Amino acid sequence: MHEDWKLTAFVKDRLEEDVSDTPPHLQDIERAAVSASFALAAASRSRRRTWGIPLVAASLAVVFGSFVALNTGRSPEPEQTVACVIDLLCASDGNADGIEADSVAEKLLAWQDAPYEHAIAGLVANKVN
Amino acid sequence: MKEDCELLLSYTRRGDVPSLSALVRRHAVWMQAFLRGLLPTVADAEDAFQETWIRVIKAAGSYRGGSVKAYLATVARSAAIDRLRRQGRTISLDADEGGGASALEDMPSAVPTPGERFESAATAEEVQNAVRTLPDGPRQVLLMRIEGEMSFKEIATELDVPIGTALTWMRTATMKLRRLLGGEECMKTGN
Repeated sequence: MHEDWKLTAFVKDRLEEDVSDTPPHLQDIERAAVSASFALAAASRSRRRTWGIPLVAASLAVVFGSFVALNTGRSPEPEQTVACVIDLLCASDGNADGIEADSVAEKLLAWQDAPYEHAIAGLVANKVN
Repeated sequence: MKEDCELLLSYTRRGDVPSLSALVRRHAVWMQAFLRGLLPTVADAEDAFQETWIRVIKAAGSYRGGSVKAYLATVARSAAIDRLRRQGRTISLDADEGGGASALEDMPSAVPTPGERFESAATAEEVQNAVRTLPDGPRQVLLMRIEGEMSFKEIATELDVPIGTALTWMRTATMKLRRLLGGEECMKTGN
């Protein structure tokens, strides 16, 4: 086996003896590397763009949900929202004295900004009064 | 000095072209020798050298760790085989095919007679010719072993043969080379 090792070492030396250590076609290889590098970067940017919009939307939804949850302790039920708006509209159209100076628009704005239960309570109180 | 894998990953992950250039320069000599042993002409070997690196660039994420040299040898061998296919030639894994004994007999100028072996075997060209006369299987194993520095396990996996076959082909290659190059005399000259 030692003789085999000597032989292969000899062959390796001879095979590499007349080979230039300057890589052939190096400039072509580097050009291809630069092109591929640009293509990779572009693909990476494209992937970021594709994922960016859903990511931003999802982030906003989470922030909004957190805001609602923090301010109300629970999410508003859809039927409550509908009932609230109907009440407001009825009060505005059917009985102007009921809400007096508070316009429907102002109530809606207050409802958006204030905690949900408080807004409902305020609306009910106004309607009762 | 950065390790091979650092240079390769630096290019594949960050597109760092100077790292790739450094890798190309570092592996230029053995890879050319490897390809010259597999392909009929120096021009073929140089083109296959370029093709090898283009493949490395395109398949930037295919490196899965381990020896970079073995990875490059695998890509280079594949590029060489495809080049031969395009030329209408093939590399066979049959140890008795692909330019074995018959090709050896047809090369009077390349293969020295017993009396001439001592001096002529000392030249690189003669050694290259002797390697090219080996049957394909033993030749590939020899080149993957001594130039690609691949383990026999890696070679067997790459060639899809049992490890015993890879070992046998290596033995066949060394025995034939010893006979072609004049036995001990050439080794003394080479050392």
